Amino acid sequence: MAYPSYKAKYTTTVSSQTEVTPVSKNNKGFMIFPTYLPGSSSAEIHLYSHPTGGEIGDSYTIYWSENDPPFGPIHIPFHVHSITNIDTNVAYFVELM
Amino acid sequence: MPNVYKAGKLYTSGTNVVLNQNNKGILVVPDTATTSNDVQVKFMGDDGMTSPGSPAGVLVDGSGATVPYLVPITVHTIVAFPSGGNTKVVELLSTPTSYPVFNTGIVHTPENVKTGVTDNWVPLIGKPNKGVLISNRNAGNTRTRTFVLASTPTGNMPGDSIQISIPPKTVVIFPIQIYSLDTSDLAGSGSTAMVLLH
Repeated sequence: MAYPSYKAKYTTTVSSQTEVTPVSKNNKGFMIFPTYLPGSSSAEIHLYSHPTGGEIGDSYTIYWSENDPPFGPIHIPFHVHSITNIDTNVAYFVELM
Repeated sequence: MPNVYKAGKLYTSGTNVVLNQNNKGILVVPDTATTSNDVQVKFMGDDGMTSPGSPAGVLVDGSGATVPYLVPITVHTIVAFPSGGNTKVVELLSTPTSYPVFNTGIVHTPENVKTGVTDNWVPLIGKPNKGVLISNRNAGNTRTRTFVLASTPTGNMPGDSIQISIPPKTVVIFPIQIYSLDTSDLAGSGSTAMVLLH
């Protein structure tokens, strides 16, 4: 059985940006590393269209907070079209390949 | 069959520490007490280089929490990891058999080559192998050995050559197929031995 291991295609540091577009159209998802800075954060995850995958598809919003143990990374383990409406102090968005 | 990692090195502090480049990620055990014992890392990107886009690296939270968590991304470097806290970072490797294991080939004694009695390395030319182990038992002198690599892509002809230095009382494994030995480079051969690996 294969190990769940990724390499990082691109790392984006978000402080004032509100949108992250993946570098690779074949990305394997994202991991979001919040910092310890206080405050609640959120972002909207856009998927590719189903079943063709060529267009922007459904979206959903994820939330994280400095009060959420273990303050760890948020893993999005599937193909992501883009991430918008980012509302956070500082976070690192790591694109997986 | 469940996924089981093999633990590599345990890190508690450091600056610009390069991890095992075959790691499968890290396990972060946060410090429950401190609020400033975070770890700055750079992940592995294309071609073994660090991931572009964030020159300073990524801040991995290692403080103020209680639950360990897994980061399943190959880490290239721990950029900064302050000392003084109880945060732990465990390097994760794949399987216990990830280290290469060789079958032993013929033990060659280059003294024979030097004296011209028997050229033990003649059968080596073009012979498939997985490299060579070189032992220098001399107490004071570094020895050099020049190997001719197999040509690319066929491997049927001599290719580029590479020279290796072996410090005193040291054993070196050169894990790349070699085509032949440069017999003109056998100074101090009486103190060295070479084992063909295949």
